Amino acid sequence: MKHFDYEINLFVDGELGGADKNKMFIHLSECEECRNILSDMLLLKEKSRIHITKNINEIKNSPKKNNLFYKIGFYTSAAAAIVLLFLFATSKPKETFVTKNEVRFDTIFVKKEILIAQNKITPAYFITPGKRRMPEESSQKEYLRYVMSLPAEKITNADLIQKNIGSYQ
Amino acid sequence: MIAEKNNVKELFEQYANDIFHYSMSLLKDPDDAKDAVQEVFVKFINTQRTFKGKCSYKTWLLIITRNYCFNKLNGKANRPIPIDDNLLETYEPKLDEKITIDDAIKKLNREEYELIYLREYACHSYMEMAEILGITVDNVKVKLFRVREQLRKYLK
Repeated sequence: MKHFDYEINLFVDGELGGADKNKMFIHLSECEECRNILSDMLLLKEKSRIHITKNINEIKNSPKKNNLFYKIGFYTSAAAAIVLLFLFATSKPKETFVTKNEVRFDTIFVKKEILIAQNKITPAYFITPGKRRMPEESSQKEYLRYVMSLPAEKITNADLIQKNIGSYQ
Repeated sequence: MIAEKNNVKELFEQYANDIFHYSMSLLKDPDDAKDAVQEVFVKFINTQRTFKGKCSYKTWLLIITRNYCFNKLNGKANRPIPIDDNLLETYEPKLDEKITIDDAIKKLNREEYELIYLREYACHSYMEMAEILGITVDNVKVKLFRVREQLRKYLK
């Protein structure tokens, strides 16, 4: 038996012509499946309408972009982003990279080569950045004496410590 | 010119709400929908003289609305989205999963949703729907039937 589901669809929209409508009614009186389809279609139509109305109202009541809270949130995030960018741009890296002529205070490494020429010695504090403390007079003399006694070659801080003279720092 | 102005004013008072709701159903954003109403009437004023009276003003305004909204949504106005016939065959609802009408309508694509919106919410006739969607009346009947069948089978 041919079912009238397509005609039922037109009928619920009020778009079914007179003759077809009569045929459909005759069929409905005999077919339980089509009666179920009709009740489903009517229910579906009503439910769809309710759903779309609800959906439209939800969209209407959704927070607007020109809402005060939206604006506060937007400007706060923008300000935070600018501050972070500024901090990032101005901060220095925690780890400093030492060039071969620089001295690091946290280790005992110092510049290895000390120039000895015409009895003039480049003291360590000259090449030590930051801490510019003059050594004591006595220790300076002692230090010079020791240095003059050494052959003109590389002197390390380790040598000085070993001889119990002191260090460059 | 004065007659045209009065005409636009009347049309605005009469159909602004319909245009607003239709564009909101497509764009899903109230602010964009308000912009759409404005844009639609601007376009209507600019092209008013080319209106030949083949359809009603309301239908024409809704066609402009539809074109505007679809252009805003990546210019898909003239590209009909085919209804997936295999969807019903491949869809296997889980026994413990209760599908509501909300879930079922969310599964519809844009064109299917538009059909349901125009028929159930805006209460347009098949003829008006055909004019707005740019398809034939028979096509509207078939498409609407398929969408309803799809929804009905989801809910079963």
